[in-house]
Amino acid sequence: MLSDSEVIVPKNIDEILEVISKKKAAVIAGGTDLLVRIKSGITPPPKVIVALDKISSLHKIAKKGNRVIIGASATYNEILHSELIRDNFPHLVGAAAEVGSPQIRSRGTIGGNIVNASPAGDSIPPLYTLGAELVLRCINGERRVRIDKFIKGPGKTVLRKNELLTAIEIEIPRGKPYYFFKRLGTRRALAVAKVSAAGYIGIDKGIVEKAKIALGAVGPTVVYSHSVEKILLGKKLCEGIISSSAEVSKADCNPIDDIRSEANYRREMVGVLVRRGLTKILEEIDG
Amino acid sequence: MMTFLDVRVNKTRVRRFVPAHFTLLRFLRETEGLTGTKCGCEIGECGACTVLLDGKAVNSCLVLAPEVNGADIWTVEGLAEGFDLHPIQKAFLDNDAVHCGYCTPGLLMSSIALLNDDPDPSEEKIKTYIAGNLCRCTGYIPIINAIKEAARILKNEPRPLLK
Ligand SMILES: Cc1cc2nc3c(=O)[nH]c(=O)nc-3n(C[C@H](O)[C@H](O)[C@H](O)COP(=O)(O)OP(=O)(O)OC[C@H]3O[C@@H](n4cnc5c(N)ncnc54)[C@H](O)[C@@H]3O)c2cc1C
Ligand code: FES
Ligand code: FES
Repeated sequence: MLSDSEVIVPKNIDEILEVISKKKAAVIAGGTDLLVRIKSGITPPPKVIVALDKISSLHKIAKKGNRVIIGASATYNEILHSELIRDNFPHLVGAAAEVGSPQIRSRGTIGGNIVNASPAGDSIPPLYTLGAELVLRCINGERRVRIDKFIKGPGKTVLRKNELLTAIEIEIPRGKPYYFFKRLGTRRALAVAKVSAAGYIGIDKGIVEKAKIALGAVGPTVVYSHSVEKILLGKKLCEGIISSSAEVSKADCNPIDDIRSEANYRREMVGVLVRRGLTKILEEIDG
Repeated sequence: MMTFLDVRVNKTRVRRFVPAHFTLLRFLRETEGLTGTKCGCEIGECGACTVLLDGKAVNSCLVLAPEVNGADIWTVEGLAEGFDLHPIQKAFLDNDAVHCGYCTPGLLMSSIALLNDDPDPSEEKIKTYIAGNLCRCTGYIPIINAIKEAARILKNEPRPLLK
């Protein structure tokens, strides 16, 4: 399958940028998407494969001012064990915990999940709610793109051939934020999400002043549920508001029938997941 | 293209040229002759190929050989000391957790990864750690019982961690 491919294991980021600027190369992080695609004949074997795993700076998770910087090669396990992420973005931890299996979480990375750009990618809805910024580097410099501007469709992104995603930067929200991540799959393990939903709600003096709701696997990309955000803003979270939110969220998605599920079911379940997520937040507020 | 690997497999240092496109699974089975690690789906779904890579359970079918240079690898062949089976192996036998046995090497390595992390795991935690290993004939209850028993035995007779 890969017998004609050259595999390069660079020692630092500059070396990677050099290689991908000159050669038609595919980078490999955990390989849990790329190798499966190549083995299944979906992606033709690349001429050159550049392995990222050995570059420790790409695995780093650190705080800089009021931002958390996650290296693109951080694995799901590294995210699960990071106190910084657990303390600040529990819904991202919740999503990482649900990915695949322990073996997939040992190798699979957040950067691979983002660049793979599946609408069902579990890390993506939480990153949408946080307005995560992606750092893209090439030999000539770097640019930053917000995640919802980065992903264009299933497997489609604005990443250029000579660019590497090096980090994901997230501003830590002020005040007391509340989060949720909910997903439905056929089984609890080794089943890609049929529907997922993530939320971030900022509350000031009992009133919702920030609301970001993102829905996964119900359209060509993860989408924001702007109608729910509109309902929530400026109100006090209560059961009535949650019910209307659950109802309107169903109109904010554009699901399809596929091997994993049906459009109608997915649309109904968006409502259920939004209800469950907001109810969890209400319980936390009421303590 | 060939690549040079300098790794430790079950505590033994191995230096070898291997085809760069080999997966870790093919390196173990075809270059090293360690056929205990099984090949099932080859796409990360079944866990039959699970080994420990620097202490972590991974699907060896989804790791390229050049990426493991310098690593510590443990396979099912590294569990027993001579004819003395590892407690996890004994517990699998004593609890009838092995029927056809195809899933067993992978399940043993996932169990070792679990016991390395948590010597006294809850049933919930056991289920989480073995969720990436499919067994189509034993059923999971004897397997879960075996892991519980191994944890009990290892508390009294600890073994060095395989990391
Ligand atoms: C059995 C199984 C179960 C799975 N279950 C889930 C699940 O439950 N939820 C889920 O979301 N996903 C799941 N996946 C998919 C996959 O594990 C994840 O998408 C994972 O995060 C991919 O990361 P990776 O590092 O392995 O990506 P890779 O396969 O290494 O790369 C994926 C793509 O991203 C590119 N890429 C990677 N890193 C970079 C970078 N830094 N810069 C530029 N391009 C880059 C690669 O070139 C490739 O095109 C599953 C996969 C398998 C095999
Ligand atoms: S053979 Fe590797 S997971 Fe099935
Ligand atoms: S014993 Fe046959 S698959 Fe598990």
